[in-house]
Amino acid sequence: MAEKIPPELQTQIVKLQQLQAQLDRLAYEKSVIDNELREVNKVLEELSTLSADTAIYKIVGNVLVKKDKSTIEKELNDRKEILELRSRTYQKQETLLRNQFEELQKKVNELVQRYYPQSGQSSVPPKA
Amino acid sequence: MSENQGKMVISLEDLLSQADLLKKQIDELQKAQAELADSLASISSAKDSIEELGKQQEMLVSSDKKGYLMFRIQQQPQSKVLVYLGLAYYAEVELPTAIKILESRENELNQALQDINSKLSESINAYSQIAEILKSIQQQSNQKGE
Repeated sequence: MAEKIPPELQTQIVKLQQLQAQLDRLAYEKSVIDNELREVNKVLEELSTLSADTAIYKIVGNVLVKKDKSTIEKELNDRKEILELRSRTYQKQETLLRNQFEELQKKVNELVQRYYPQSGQSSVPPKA
Repeated sequence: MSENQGKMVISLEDLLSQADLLKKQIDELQKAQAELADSLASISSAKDSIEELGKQQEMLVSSDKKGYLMFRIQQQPQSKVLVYLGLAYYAEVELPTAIKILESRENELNQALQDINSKLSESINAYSQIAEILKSIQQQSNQKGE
């Protein structure tokens, strides 16, 4: 029969898995933000090559609405600011969580060594 | 995973979960690859259409996706078109500018497709290696069973 994992170790492993899930979710959310930011920059770059009197249209539902180039640029620059702020926030959160993850990983490895001194290496895989 | 006399020991469960993870990754990458290829085909088609817009000619337009109904339109030579910039924006530009914008988007998508292709070949390679290991394990267990 399989040996029962000590409760202390079990608790820490669960915490580690939760942190891993949080990190994965955060990485996904950050990638969504970064993709949109890349697209905003791409549109701004294209707009910068067009003359001021170029007719720009925005999709609103199923219709195209004519807008001023300057209005669109302002709209996009505002969006860009918000996205950059959110991206930086996610970056800080990710760094914080990664540090917590690494500390907890060390703790789990120490517990594994304490409870299973005969096993050569820990069974906790390093975070990619 | 443990180390015995300098050898790395990996459990069968680890191998199987790694293979499962790679399979999911391969599926996602193939889906993204198909979407990018579809977008590139659309851009190519748009560029071809621009070539025709400068000419005055009779055209047939389909009323639906499958082409159950077609009708004739008299095409006036066009000097401007609405081209997609990204997000939710279109710009009304001269034909050469439209081609430039489309080519810029095409280059970007080609680069993304290259990245996906290289990631895909890495994943397929890793998956094949694991499949080989699993195959040899199965063969060994079959031999022991005999």
